This record gives sequence, C-alpha cells and structure tokens, in this order.
Amino acid sequence: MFWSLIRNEWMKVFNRTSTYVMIGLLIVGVLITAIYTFYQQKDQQLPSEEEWRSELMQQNEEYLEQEKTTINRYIKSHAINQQAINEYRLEHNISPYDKENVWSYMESNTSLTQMIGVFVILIGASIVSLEFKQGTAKLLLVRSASRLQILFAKFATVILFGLFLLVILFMSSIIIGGSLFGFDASSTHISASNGEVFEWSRTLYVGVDYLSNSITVFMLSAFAFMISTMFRSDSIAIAISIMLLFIGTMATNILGLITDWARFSLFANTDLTVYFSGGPMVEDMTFSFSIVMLILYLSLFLTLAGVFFKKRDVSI
Amino acid sequence: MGAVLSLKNVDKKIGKAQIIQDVSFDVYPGEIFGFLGPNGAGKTTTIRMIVGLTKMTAGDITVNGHSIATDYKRAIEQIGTIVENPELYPYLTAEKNLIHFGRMSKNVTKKDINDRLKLVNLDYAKDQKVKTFSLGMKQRLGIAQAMLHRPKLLILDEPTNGLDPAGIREIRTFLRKVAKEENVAILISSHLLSEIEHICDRFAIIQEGNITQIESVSNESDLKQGVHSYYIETDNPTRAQKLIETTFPNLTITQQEQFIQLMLTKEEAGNIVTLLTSNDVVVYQVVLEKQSLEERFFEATSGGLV
Repeated sequence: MFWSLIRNEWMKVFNRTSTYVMIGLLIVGVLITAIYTFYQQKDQQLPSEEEWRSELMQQNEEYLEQEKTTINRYIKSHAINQQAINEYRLEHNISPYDKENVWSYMESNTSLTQMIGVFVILIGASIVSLEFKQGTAKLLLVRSASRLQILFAKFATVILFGLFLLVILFMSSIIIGGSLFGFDASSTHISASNGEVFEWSRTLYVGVDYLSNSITVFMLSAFAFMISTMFRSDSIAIAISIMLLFIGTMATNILGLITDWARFSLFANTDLTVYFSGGPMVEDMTFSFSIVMLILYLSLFLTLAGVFFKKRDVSI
Repeated sequence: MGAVLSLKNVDKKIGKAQIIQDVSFDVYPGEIFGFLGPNGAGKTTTIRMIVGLTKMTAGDITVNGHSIATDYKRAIEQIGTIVENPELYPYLTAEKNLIHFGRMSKNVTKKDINDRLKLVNLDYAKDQKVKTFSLGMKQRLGIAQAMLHRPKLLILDEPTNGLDPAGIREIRTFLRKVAKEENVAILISSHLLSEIEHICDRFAIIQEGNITQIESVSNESDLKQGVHSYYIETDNPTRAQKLIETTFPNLTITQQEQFIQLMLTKEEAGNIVTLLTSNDVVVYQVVLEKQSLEERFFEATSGGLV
C-alpha cells in the first residue's frame, strides 16, 4: 500500500509542468557555471613554484597578524586554519593553483544545491496544501489508506524528489564539466579544522560536500512540509523556508557570537563538513552532537505534521 | 435485510453551534435514498461525517456494521463517494486519475478502470487532462471514481449538478441500474425536489441540522382513500356547475375558465362524469391534481425556509 501511495505522489509530481521547468533550470544553471568557469581559466597562467610559495608565506604573515589582533572568533579560527593549510602546502609542495578539472569545477558549483533547496521546498510546501487547494484531499482521504500513511508517502516523495534533483545535478555536472575540463583527478583538496589539516582526494571531497549540502535541503524541506501541513497554506511555508535557506546560517552565526546556546539552532548543525573544514560554530560541539540534533529536529517536524494532519476535520 | 448505512443519533457541534442534531436514518441495499434540504441545512456536513472527513460529536455511524469512528478502514472500504464538487486532479488525464484512486484500493485492475470509463461514457476522453473537461464530464468521472472499487454504498453529493438534461437522465437511469443490478445502496443529497422525486425510493428532509421527516416518494396509499382536488374541463362550465350544484348540494365548486375545480373521492368523480355526459355537457378531461413532493416539502419545512 505504502509503495502505491508513493507511486501516486510521484506520478502527480511528474505530471506537472513546473517540475520540468525546475529540472530545466537546474541544467541551465550547470551550463552557466561551467561556461563561466571555462572562460575564466582559459587564459589563466598557473604561477610558478617560487611565486605561489612566496604568496603563501606572505598570506601567513597576514593571517598571523589577524589571529593576534581580532576579537571575532570566526575570523580568528579562519586565520588559524588557513595558516595550517598553507604550511601543509609549503611542506608537501602542493600548489593551491591547479588546472581546472571536473572535480574542482564541481566543488565550485555546490552552490547549485541551494537551487535544489528552493525547488524541494516548493514541492514540500505544496504537496499537502495543493490537495486542499484543489479539493482533492476529500477524495484522497476517504480511502482505506490511513491519513498518516498518506502523509508519510508524501514526505518520502519530497525526499525522493530531492535525491532525484541531486542526481540530475551530479550527472549533468560530471557530463558538462567533464567534457569541458577533463576527468583528471590527481589533485587533492586540503581542509583544516581547529588547526588540524585533512587531505582529501578530489572525488571523495566532492561527494561529501554534495551530501553535506543536501542535509540543509533535507531539513528545510521537512520544515516546509510541516508548516504547509499545519497551516494548509503553501505561501507561508515557502516564504519562511526559503528565507531560512538563505539567511538561516548567517543568522545563526551572529547568534553564535552572542551566546553558546546557538549550538542548539538547526543551522549550527546542518553543515557537517565543518568538523573537517573550518571548525564548528561553538568550539566544543561534536559530530555526534550535530547528528543527534538533526534527528531531534526531524522528529519534531514530522511529529507536528503528523499530529496536525491526523486531527483536523477536512472542511474544504 | 439489514441496513448498509445506519446513522444513530448523530450530533455535530462546532464550538457552541449545534450544526447537526440527533440525526438518525438507515439506507438499505438496492435502495436510492434522497437527502433533501435547503442549502446550509447540514447535508454536506452529514455526508462528511459519514465518510470520516469530519468527526461527529456524539452518536454513531455504521457501514455494514463497521463503525466509522472505531473501525474506519473497514467502514470506508465499502463506500464510494463524491463530496460536494467532483474535484479531481486537473493536470492528470481521466485515466490517470482513476489509476491514482485505483491504486489506493485493493483489487482494482486496469480492466476495471476501462470498464468504469465506458460505463460513464468517458472512454473517448480517457487521455484528455481533466482541466479540459466540462462540469458534466467531471461529474461522470467523479462517479466512475466512486464506483471503482465496487462499493456497497455510494454517497453522491448533488450528483446532477452541472449536467444538461440528457446527462441528468443518463445518470438517473445509470444509478437506478446500479442500485437494482448490483444491489448497491445509494445516498443522494440534493436541494432540488424534482431531482429526489425522479430518482429516489425514500427520502429524508433535513432542516437546520434536524431530520424533520422520512418517507417514501410514491405516496399511493393516500390516493386510494382520500379526497382529492379534481379539475374537470367541459364545453360549458357554467352549466356544468349548475348541474352539479343541484345534484350534489354539499360540494363547493370553483370555476376557473374552462375548468371547474372541486374536492372529490374517486367514486364521486365517476358519478359527476356520468351526470355531466348524460345531460349533454361534453367532458374534455378530468384531471386529478396529485399533491407533488414539492408541496409536501414546503408543508414539512413550512416557515423554515428563507
């Protein structure tokens, strides 16, 4: 039964024109970033070893100065991490300049996951409320499937749709990026957290980066889903969720400067890469703390959505 | 035979307002039961409670013995319904709409879907999106949707809304056939008296949340004994009136153009025709004015209508 319900939802999503517009826009987005990157790197000369070494050393002097003078703890930890990375590069003779390849290109287009975020929020916010707007909820709910089954089939469809878009983004980036920049993946990505340096293979890093970015998307679509189920209005859900998508992290960062309680904010925990790159918002936060927080938030969103969907009289 | 649908003392309160009060009635297999009332009387609210979209405050509703409140799944499996307008997915084709609802029930095959489309004469439009449909087509697709899983009880809210006269006739014939051949119980709500009169076996009148009356549509027993209003058309009404007045002095006669109107029993009517013809008054027609459902409806709801 649950599988049939998901098939139904999937059919409804893919019989709407807006869905194909979203897929189209995503691919156009990949094309634009790829062409932009291509023209940028075309005339670029890679600096010689001497040049980049002296550049990094000079940078480190500036970072050291910053580390000593700043009172903003984000700037301070950034300075520490950059120094660590630069020292690692100097020591292991790894140039920060590298010929563009498909993986480095993909690193630079992870921001397109924000676009996926918007699309998934749009679907998540409308998948329940649209049934009420159209009046089809009446026919949907007078069947032997329970209301909770229907609700969770809808949520599962939102998540599947997000994964589907992620696959589209990944595949089109590989195909378009690969044909423009080649598949050479010998270079590495270097990151640091709390002064500790991590060296990644490009391929692995891109995978982790995409996955981590989708956590924000995932949580916000659950949030949009909850709001739209509670208020049966897609516009409120879309407005709040997209706003949070764009300013949530920034707002939490500001909060983090004022109080350690910011660690309990959703956005302090959505980016799991901080534990390898850049460091967490509050120093003593751990990876497992973030996972627990994410699970708690998700259960809160889904429980509220479930309670509201089950209880209410349908009066459309 | 036991009732398919049974409402027992159903109440619905929203806040302090009593929307439905103490509503009870039964619907039996093979019967078309009308649910008649002015707009806002509580027809749709009652239907919503029967299908579980709205929870009742008190009382119980059972479908073949399964309570909608405590055994929802078993109860709802036996119901096919359209609540208010036939709102289907506008961006899906007719066939995909049925596939969608078919997947939500057990044992609905591709063949069932095609059969239902043929039944409501929509097989020619099965690949057309519902947003291109007329209201009549949507109504028919709604009925196909309601009948997809062979329910024992069909609940249709204003099913002939938006249909042209031919369409209305078609639906009527169709529903009678379904009730009779498949022994399905059908509950139809309407604010139109003629509708109920033409299609239903029994009906209930609901008014301001109360059932004021439940009865059969054909009230033939009254006709056998009672006195009824007769209209008699003759070539000479004035002479006819005089003749009757002298022979039956206790009857009150009113003359209306070519007609004379009077209250008679069946036997008296026969005697009067004999009297007139034997006195060379030509009788063109004798009309028995049957009290229509409409009059009974206004009688029952007198003063309650706005």
